[in-house]
Amino acid sequence: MHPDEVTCRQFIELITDYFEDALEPPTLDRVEEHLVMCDWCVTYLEQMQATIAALGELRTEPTHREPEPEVLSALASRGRDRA
Amino acid sequence: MIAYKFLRHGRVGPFSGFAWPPPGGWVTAAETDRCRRGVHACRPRDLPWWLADELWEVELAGEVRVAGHKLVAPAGGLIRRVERWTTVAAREFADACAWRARDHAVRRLKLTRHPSDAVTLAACATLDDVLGVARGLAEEVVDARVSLTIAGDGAVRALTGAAPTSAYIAAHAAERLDGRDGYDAERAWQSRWLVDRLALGADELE
Repeated sequence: MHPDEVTCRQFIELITDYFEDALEPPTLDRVEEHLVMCDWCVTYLEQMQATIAALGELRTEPTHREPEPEVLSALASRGRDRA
Repeated sequence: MIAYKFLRHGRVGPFSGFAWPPPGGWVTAAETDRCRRGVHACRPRDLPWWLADELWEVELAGEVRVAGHKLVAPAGGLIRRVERWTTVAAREFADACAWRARDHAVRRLKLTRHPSDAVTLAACATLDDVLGVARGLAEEVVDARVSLTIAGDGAVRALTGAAPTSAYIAAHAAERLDGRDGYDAERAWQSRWLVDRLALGADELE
């Protein structure tokens, strides 16, 4: 393997920076050269893009909400039992 | 400066997703020190690294920098599509590279004193044959196993139409035998093949 070539493993490590446009040009060149000829990494890249897109469409749920009445009731009765 | 650029179907940049305007249109980049924001193209010698669906002749303007296997310029535009680069030509190139990987494995067999196996592999008439023979020999000939495996992989990738991968494999098959010089020579051979087959200007090949 050439020192100026990116391996599949290295690409996996660099993919976040690739998405964020944070790779230095020489590294970016090597990543893109790798992507030209590596179907597996292209597939991985596309899967990551699809995952990011899907996650971006998730609705925001409230993080704190009142417990269901049945839960509150069960907790209250457990407290009474311990008392 | 006249250079070349591979694009996806519909004049789309393979990495940027940028849809290039048809010939006559001009693209400028605000800054070229960031790779993604420059106009990219390549010299004939760089073609094997960037194979894609469409090949275009482009004109670059402003200060043109060489960056690895690509050129980066502040502005550029498509001139004309290289019509000879077709799926058929890509397939022929992939096949040619796979045969070269086979030839390197034959040489390796000779160097490791397996002359009859070398003759068997050299006698293959199709890439299917290369695949079968190389895979079979790889199980038996330990000191040529890697070269034989590479030859088999090259045949597989050519048979599935993966020209960039076939070229990559052939270059590494050569490197296995002759080191970095072999790799460079193989890439140069690939560039010459493309220049000849596509009737490109070869001013910067050497």
